[in-house]
Amino acid sequence: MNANVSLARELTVGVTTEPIVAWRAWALTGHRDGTELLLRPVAGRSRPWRPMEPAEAACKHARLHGAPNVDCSCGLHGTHDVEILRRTRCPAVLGRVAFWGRVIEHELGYRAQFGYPQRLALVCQFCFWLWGPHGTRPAVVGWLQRDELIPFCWPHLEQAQRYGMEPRRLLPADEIDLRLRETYAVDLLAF
Amino acid sequence: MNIGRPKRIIEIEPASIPLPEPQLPMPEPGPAPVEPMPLEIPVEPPAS
Repeated sequence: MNANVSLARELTVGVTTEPIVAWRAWALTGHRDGTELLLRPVAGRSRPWRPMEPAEAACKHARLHGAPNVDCSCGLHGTHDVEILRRTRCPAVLGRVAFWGRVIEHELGYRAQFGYPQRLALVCQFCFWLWGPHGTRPAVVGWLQRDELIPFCWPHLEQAQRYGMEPRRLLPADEIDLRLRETYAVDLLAF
Repeated sequence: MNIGRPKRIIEIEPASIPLPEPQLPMPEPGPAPVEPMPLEIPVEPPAS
C-alpha cells in the first residue's frame, strides 16, 4: 500500500445518535487538602478533563487536521476491554467514559472528538497492574510534587516508601473518591 | 497504548450531550410571611 494514501478511504462511515461508552484511565491532580481535583491524561501534557464540560480532542498537528484523524494517533482514547488499561502508565482513576462527535473505532478501542466520564473510581495502580480491576480499592491517596495524587492500598504504600516514594501528605481515599465523583457529578464505578 | 488498527468511522450526534445536569443553587430564604393585620371593627358604645 502507498504510505501516502489515507486510511480513511478504506473505512466505512456510520452515523448514529447514541454515544459510545468505553473504558478509560486517568491521572489525578489536586491541592494538598484534596480540593481542586482534576482528571488528566496519563500520558503527555495534554489538557485536563474539566468538570461539567466536555473534553475535546486536540492534536499537535492541529494546523494540518482536526482530531481525531484516521492517519494520526490523536483523539481521546478509550478501550473496549478494561484489561488493556493494565498496561497504562500510572493510572490513578479508572472509569467509563461517553464518546461522541467523530469517533474512530479501532480493533481494541476508540479515538474520539468529545468525551465525558460517566462512572469513576480510584484505583491502587500497583494492584491494578498485578491483578486487574478487582480488589484495587485504595486506602489512602498520596499527595506528591506538582499536585500529583496517587492512590495506594496499605501494602503498596509501604512498598513504595521502601523504594523512596514518600508522599508529602496522605489523604483518606474514601473522601477523595467521593469528592471526585461530586466534582464531576458522576456515579461510582462498580467492578 | 496500542488499540490496534482503525476499523470504521462513526459520526455521533447525540440527541442530548451526555453531561450531568447542572446543579441548581439553593434559593435564598425570602422574607418571613407577613401576618395579616387583624381588622379592628369599631364598636359603638352602648346607647345609654
